[in-house]
Amino acid sequence: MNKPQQEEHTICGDKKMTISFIRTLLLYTIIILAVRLMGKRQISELQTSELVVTLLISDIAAIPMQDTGQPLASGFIPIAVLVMCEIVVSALMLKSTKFRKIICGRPIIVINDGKVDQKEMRRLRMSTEDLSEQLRQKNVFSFEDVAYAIVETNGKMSVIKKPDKEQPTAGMLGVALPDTGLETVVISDGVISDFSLQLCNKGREWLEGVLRGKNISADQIFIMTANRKGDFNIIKKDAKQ
Amino acid sequence: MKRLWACVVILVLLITICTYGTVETKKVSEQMAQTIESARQAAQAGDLEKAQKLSEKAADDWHNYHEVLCTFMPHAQLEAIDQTLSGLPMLCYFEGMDQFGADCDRGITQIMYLNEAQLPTLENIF
Repeated sequence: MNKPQQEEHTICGDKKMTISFIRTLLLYTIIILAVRLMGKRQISELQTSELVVTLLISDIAAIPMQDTGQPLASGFIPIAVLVMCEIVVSALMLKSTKFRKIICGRPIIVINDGKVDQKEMRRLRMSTEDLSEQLRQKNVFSFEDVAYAIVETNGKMSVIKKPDKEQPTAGMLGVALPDTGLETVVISDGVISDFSLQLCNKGREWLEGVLRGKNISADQIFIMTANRKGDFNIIKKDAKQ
Repeated sequence: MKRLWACVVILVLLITICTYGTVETKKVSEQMAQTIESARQAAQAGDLEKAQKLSEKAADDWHNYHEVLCTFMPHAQLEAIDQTLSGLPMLCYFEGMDQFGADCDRGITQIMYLNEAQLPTLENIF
């Protein structure tokens, strides 16, 4: 009988660090793709289901990042399932109001026609401090000023002031203001944005004319904004020290 | 609509990967268990040369399968089997038959456990 050959094994701690490094990069890419796939709503307004998915994804991604003994698939598969569920749930919410109510709940009116609805506040487990804090964040400093306060499904509060407490608008005062349209950044750090020029209904010819008139080149400009009316504002780059 | 199509693609990919994982684990575990069982039977029958060859084959086969299995299984489970199988040829060479038999049984149990852990049964889900 031949003596079996013993295998050579090397243990290297550095390799584990490299694995963690590569895995983190991969998972970072996957999470960015996942959030993009779920849509922009995910970033700004978190509904109940979106909050759950965001929390779970961050937790799941951390496991294979830290534990190199776990296969990367143990992170990828749950993330893919969560993304899939989130897309399906948001599509269903768009189609069915009932389904949306089940998942997100409904907006709750806590101040109705100037009267604080204590029952609804208790239901929301919202204290008077919470209510006044949220009102202050909306630039309302007295309960007296509020006609309606609604807690939206994403937890944010919408406030409608009493008509006599609202700030008058130009329309109310009968003042005609010129419509200057959207102001956009057409040059940012010396780079011309054709998209922004399009947004304010201007072209490269107009921009070149303006720059010629001011005797300046685009690469000397830090920020240039413009609007549809043709008003513009130029901030030059600081001189290099 | 594009997102829903992306969703369908993800679903198909997930089903494919999960099915492949389950089928591959079942195939590997059955083959490995059979080889180790044959090695154990050969050792019991006194054919130590055959037992050693089979246990070497089991260790070699496992190394090949390991590369695939470690992409979707916790590495600790696979390494435990690796350690059990690596010792079998030596035990056979030094005629430690009691220990060889015990390690064969341990190896088979570990491999079958690997298969059972992959199955989407109620016990595993809950």
